[in-house]
Amino acid sequence: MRKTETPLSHASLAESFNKDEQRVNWHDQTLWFIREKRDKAAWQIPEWEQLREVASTIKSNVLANLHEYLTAFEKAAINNGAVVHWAENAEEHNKIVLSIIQKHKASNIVKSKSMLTEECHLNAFLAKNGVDVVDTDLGERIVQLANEPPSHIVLPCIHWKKEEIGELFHQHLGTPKGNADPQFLTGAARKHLRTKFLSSSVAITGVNFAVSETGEVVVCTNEGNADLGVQLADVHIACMGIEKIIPKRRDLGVFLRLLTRSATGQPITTYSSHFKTPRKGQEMHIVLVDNGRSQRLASDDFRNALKCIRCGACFNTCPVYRRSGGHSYHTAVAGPIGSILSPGWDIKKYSDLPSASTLCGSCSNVCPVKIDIHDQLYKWRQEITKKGNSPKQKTILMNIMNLILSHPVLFNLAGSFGRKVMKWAPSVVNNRINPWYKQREMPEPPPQSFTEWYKKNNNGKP
Amino acid sequence: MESRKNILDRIKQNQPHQNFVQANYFIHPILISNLVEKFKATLTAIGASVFEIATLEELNHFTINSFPNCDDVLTYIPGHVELERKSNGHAYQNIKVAILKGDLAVAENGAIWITDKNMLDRALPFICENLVLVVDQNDIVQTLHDAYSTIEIAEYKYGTFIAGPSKTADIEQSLVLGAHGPKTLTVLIQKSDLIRTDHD
Ligand code: SF4
Repeated sequence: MRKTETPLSHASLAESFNKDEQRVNWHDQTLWFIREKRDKAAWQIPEWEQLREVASTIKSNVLANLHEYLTAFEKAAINNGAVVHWAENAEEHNKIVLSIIQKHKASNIVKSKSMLTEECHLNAFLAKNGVDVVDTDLGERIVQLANEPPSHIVLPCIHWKKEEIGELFHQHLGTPKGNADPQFLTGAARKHLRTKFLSSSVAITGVNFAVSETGEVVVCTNEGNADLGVQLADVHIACMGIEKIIPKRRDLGVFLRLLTRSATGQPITTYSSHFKTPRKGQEMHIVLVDNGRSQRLASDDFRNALKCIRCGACFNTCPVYRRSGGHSYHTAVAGPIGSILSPGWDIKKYSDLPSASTLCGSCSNVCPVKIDIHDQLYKWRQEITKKGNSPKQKTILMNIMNLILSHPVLFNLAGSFGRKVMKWAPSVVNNRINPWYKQREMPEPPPQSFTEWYKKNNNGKP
Repeated sequence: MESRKNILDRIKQNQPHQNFVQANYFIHPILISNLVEKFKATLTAIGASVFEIATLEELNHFTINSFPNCDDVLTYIPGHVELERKSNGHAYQNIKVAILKGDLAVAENGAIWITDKNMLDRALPFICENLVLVVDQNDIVQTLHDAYSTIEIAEYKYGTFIAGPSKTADIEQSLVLGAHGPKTLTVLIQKSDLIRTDHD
């Protein structure tokens, strides 16, 4: 499903996603349905806006005192009996994880959902080093069997139809051909993965929140896969970005009330597990990863993106995401938040992403920690243009627009010319060269401009 | 070690120097008038079953009636029904029903807080096929904020909120109960003080 042509661009990948119109409509509607569930859940909480404000303030405080919170967290975690590791970047993170696995001579391990390990491309690295990692979240297992990255941070296989999953399971798990019943397929996956849980001595998890005061990490799942993995394994490796810190346990009251309501509309995930002290005889490792985060911390414009709690609400509400699919973003974290995180990792490679937005602001409106996502999208566009990374076609057009908009005479002429062309020769604009015409009809041109109409109706007076 | 120093130095230099004080907040949720009813309604909505019981005998009746002819039932309620812990979590893989005691329950979201000392083995609440949690009616609180005002001073090594049976909707958003953990969750609200544990 992922195109390999270079350079990858959101526009071209979205175009291929859009070839199957029915499928796009289905994708769009499924995500909108989840957005509506989020609304219903939020409306049941009269103090919702206060919760968002408080969550955002807690995170501001964390970012302004990250050094202190991290060192306190480390101290408490060591005190609890965990081993704390620090990784500058993805490469170092992967090496640390591999060395722990090798120390325990493990070759089969289980992993529950972690966007950080996606960001670091851990699976591919471990596979290269002879370690068989099994993603245990059902959606993640599906995309893993299909050799694809997740297309959504909360709903990894939202782009897959059940018939296709039935076929995939038929090939990999030996389920009967043609059976596409979700209940049946989930049962088959449960059986298949139960054997993996029972035979893995190392379990990797992500981290939703890390409490500075107590050194514990909190992991939220609906399936119970993080807990089952960790509690059957001799070694627990928890991988987290340094921004996952919150000051105190009581702050979890705020974040857990917001997280799942924003994500899927559920009041809370089935399991919200607090891992503080490992079992007797169990090892617990916490890997703290920077990978560009401390650099971003310096930027007044882009710092707030570090507040993200990965709920996915901005994906579900985004008209561009819904109609272009997660893989069109060609990065580990897609959607609006991915479009402001990715250019920070590589401004050249991801220069297209801040443009994959209509700047409608819906993402910022649903974000539970009030990140100014659409403002940051706009600021990245400016940054990209300044650094000379914007696409050529766009630069030329921008210069022409600049010329026209700053000269009233040219502006009036251009408007009247445009209306005539659209009326008498619509094919000039209604064609494949104009990207707006794809999947759309061009509107009827109005007979006159507003200025012309105003002059006529106001007897020529200004 | 070098990475630790580099990361922390960079953070110290880059973190904004505005003095953001720690958020001191007080959230005013709308008070829920009937906690037990709200808790029951929320649990039902998230796929759990709820019953009220008064005595330990009723607990036994419930088990016999709900899981007839089932041998692999395990009850562990510290102070009442004690058991030896087996060598590891794998030893519980064939348990059909586990009956455990929750510490605390939240009316707004149906979540039940349970910590390692009530789990017998940390794997048990996840590896059993059906989970039954007994909750004291007096341990039901309004919201997560209330729950954390107890949890923030509690001692535990591992604790989790459990809200419903394990579930997934990863295949075309169709909700399926019983992903990796228990396929059912039954909550028994204990109306009297008969099954009290040491945390009280
Ligand atoms: S940016 Fe906000 S809405 Fe988007 S995933 Fe992060 S927390 Fe959720």
